[in-house]
Amino acid sequence: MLEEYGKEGPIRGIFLAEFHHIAGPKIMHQHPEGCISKEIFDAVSVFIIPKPQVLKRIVTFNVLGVKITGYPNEIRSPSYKRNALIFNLAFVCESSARTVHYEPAVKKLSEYLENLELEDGFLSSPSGRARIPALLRQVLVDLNKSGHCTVTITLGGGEGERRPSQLMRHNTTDGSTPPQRRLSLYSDQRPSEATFRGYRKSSVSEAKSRRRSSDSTTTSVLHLKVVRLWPDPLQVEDHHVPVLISERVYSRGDHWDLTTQQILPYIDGFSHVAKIAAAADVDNNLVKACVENLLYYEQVRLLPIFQYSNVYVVTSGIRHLYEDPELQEECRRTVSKHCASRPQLCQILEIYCSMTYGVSVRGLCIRYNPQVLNIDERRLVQFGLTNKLIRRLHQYPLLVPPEDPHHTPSKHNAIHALCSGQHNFDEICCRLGLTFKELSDIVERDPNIRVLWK
Amino acid sequence: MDVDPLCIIIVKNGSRGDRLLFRYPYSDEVTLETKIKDKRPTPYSLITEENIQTPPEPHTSNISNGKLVGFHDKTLSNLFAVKSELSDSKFELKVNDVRFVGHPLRLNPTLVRVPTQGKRKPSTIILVNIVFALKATINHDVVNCYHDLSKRLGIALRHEEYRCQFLSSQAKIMLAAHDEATQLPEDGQVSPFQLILDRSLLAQHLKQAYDELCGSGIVQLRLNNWIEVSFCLPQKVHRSLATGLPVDCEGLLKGLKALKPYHTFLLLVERAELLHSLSPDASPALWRLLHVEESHLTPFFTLAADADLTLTQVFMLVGHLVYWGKATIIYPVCSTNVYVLSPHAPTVINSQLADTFRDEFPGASLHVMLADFSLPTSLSDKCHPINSPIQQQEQVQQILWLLKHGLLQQLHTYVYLAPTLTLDTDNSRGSSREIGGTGPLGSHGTSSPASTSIPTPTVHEPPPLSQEPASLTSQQPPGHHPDITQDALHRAAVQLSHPASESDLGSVCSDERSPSPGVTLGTTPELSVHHQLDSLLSLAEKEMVMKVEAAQNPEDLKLFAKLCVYFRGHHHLEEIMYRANLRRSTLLHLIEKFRPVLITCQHPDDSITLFSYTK
Repeated sequence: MLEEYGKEGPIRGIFLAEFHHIAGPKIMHQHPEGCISKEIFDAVSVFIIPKPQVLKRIVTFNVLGVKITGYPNEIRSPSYKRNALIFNLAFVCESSARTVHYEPAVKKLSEYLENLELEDGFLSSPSGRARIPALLRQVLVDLNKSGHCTVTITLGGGEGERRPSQLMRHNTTDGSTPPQRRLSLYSDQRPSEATFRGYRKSSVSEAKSRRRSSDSTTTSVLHLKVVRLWPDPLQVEDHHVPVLISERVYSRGDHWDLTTQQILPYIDGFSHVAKIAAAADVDNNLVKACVENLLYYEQVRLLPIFQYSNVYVVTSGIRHLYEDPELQEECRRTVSKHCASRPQLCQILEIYCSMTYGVSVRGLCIRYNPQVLNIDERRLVQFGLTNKLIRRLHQYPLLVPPEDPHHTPSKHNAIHALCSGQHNFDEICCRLGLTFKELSDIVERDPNIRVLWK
Repeated sequence: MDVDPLCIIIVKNGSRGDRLLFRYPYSDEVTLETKIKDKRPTPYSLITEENIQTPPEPHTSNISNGKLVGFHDKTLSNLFAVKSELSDSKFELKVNDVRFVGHPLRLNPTLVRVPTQGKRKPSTIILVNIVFALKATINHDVVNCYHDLSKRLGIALRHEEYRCQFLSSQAKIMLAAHDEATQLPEDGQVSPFQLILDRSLLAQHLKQAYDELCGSGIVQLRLNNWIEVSFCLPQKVHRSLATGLPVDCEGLLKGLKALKPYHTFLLLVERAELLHSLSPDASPALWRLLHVEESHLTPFFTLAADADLTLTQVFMLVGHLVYWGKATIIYPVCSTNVYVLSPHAPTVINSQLADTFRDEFPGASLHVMLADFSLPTSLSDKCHPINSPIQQQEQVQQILWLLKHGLLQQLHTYVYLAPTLTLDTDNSRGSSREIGGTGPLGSHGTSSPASTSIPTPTVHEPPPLSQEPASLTSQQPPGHHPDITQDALHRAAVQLSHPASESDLGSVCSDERSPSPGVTLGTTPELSVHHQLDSLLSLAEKEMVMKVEAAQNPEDLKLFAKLCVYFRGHHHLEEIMYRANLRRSTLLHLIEKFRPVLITCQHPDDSITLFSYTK
């Protein structure tokens, strides 16, 4: 679970603070001007330039009506006054906004600055400092506008007073090797841990730096992206049916990975995961992973398998169908069997309202004959489930051993093992390869099994 | 989600700088480890060059085993002893994966009552901050609750400081213990916090608060044996209830706003136990309310009359009980109630519940009971007339038990007015609503000329929305019934008579509470009925209604006109009965007569089930 607070708000401002060797914590640059007032900064400077133990950690605080998220960073070197440069590049947001999704960007930016400083004295040299305001402005504008940002910084080069970088000094100390520029942006080299958390996050942080052929100027490129965080999707099971709820999947066909592309045509809203896997000739677990990914991006929704023996019950959501003209239109369009004529809404409503305990879809079909009413019952159920007008009633077989002490366990052990109240009929059918009828016959005949509907 | 705190910390700031007074839980290993780290690096030690090429160590979590680790006392006190600008407001700080929340309070030394004898110097503490360390991933709702607790503790502490210098004296003890611990020889290492815990009352209070938060989620302590601080973490309390569903304050409060006079509450704990746990200065109104017998059978308006309270007061008291996880909201238990297995009911065979149930009701099996309720079952179905009253009583008790544990939900019947024509002729939409919108609105109820022998509760229905482009209803937003002013309700409640006759079901009486013998209809001119229908229905709807056979009977039509505002799916039968002061049989009869234009369906009442879970 993520912190769920407020909405995602834009970044109000970005500032760079440093520990000045005489004046203490100090705002060096900010954009826009006045995004953090002097009074507030003084009150919270202890969190912006904190004690050493809190350095190199994301620090977010929410006081005095602003929420500030920063990454206090430190470069230790005898070349600085007080032997260290402590700086913090922080984002200022509304106090009610979520900021957790900005944290990777803040951290990366801070580490990037650290490297630039080590390379080129970006933070300490006047020439570098002159470029910081533009950098801050670009990051702010781009991240707010498009959620990603590419910063290109030319190192050294034309700037006259280039001071030897920290790194070069390290290199030159150990011998007379000719000074050789090496880029050490380790965000480039590190197998970024974010990348492998899941392929959906692959674009989180991927810094690239490239070197121009000319040895005097070096360009460094930084990519920043704000990735929204959603709660983790549900666990996908064999018997779940993925239903596409967005057209976008197809419009961006080549956007998905190969496996997803392979299974997409088989997601027809009626086949369950195991069936899709068999049809697409893909491993079950891979299909599950792909569906999970699609779930995360809200492209599909999971529904239970449709069967005529299923029982659905109407929920309070049916009120929306009664009141919402848009939903009514959509419903009539979706459930109609032939495009030529639309089914009558009150018939649809009546069928939905008749879905109750003990009435299977088969029963409904016999009573109402939806074919004649131009209603496709499968689509009707699917529409009801996706719009939460109805819900599926699951059957949970339960093994209740009789009081009789001479009772001997019967031979249906495989089924009995699954009658613990945790597994519903769908699951058991899928696992044991039984049809619904076979299973319900077995359960019916067994006096020790009670069935719970919920 | 785990909502337990990681740590509770108290920090002071004063003339001698900031200081961490106490933290709990503390662990000896960590303090030892920090001790070693604390040693000043000698100026002669070699500064080893860090290899820049190797990536830095990824930052490890600051949480280990549910405890806060990796922060020095000094670091924490530096962070929490905030500048005075930040005092007296919420303090929220997230470092790495730990979120700290507190409420720094400024103390005014001049207000401290210094004992006249003795020459003690006035207190030097100017700020105190009680901070909870939480996991950063915890829901914001929970964080706000912890802030509230911090504030309560802080204010109580400030009061005690002003009254009798409680904080100063405790701080003295704590600081002395810190000094003592540092002076001890290395091998006889004792954690200063252990010493503090042994000696300081405040430290024991904080430990108690931490333990209770991790335990039940309810904190009840008497600070300095003087001020009571009580706090409830609903997210935890409600999760430990049998329903085990997550709740948040927002959902709870929203649900409590939807309370209706015909609901009632069901205590989740034993009445005697609850009365015992009340503090001596609890509201006498609560005592009165809790002393009403069989409260699960009586709706709020009767309860209010019995306890001699206003309905608003009853709502507020019940709101408290629900928030603290002591009660839940139900429709009063009566023979016509239909119950069914709740979708959230745990069905695991070996659950603890089954054992508890067997202990409570020997000879009965929970699972058989649940299987029986897999299909909707009403209380009257359960209770055969052949059964002895004792058996019936037992069955009611079993149902109450199931309700208490959230295994059952009640189904209500909702009625929709859906004549074939209006729903389907696209061109009849919109245009017809106009008439409905401009008609004499709100004529329903208030101006009802029907002379009933019992005063009808005055119902102010919001007028149907006019000019609805294509909608087929005159809907009100769900849950939004600025219906009856509380006073009117109360009046109505007092005036409504009690159940006319106790049926043979004993206390499980029928819900037909009003005899309403004189719903004499038909005394009004037909015109007003038609007016009423015009104002509430669209043209097409009215047309279809008039085609129904029963519409020829003026009395039926009159009643239908009176009730059709409730046939939009927002009101269940019980609510209609309450609002229109009708018998169930009359209502069912009417619905049956107008069956061609009505659709009924059954689902639970969301307004009261809502706060048992959130989406």
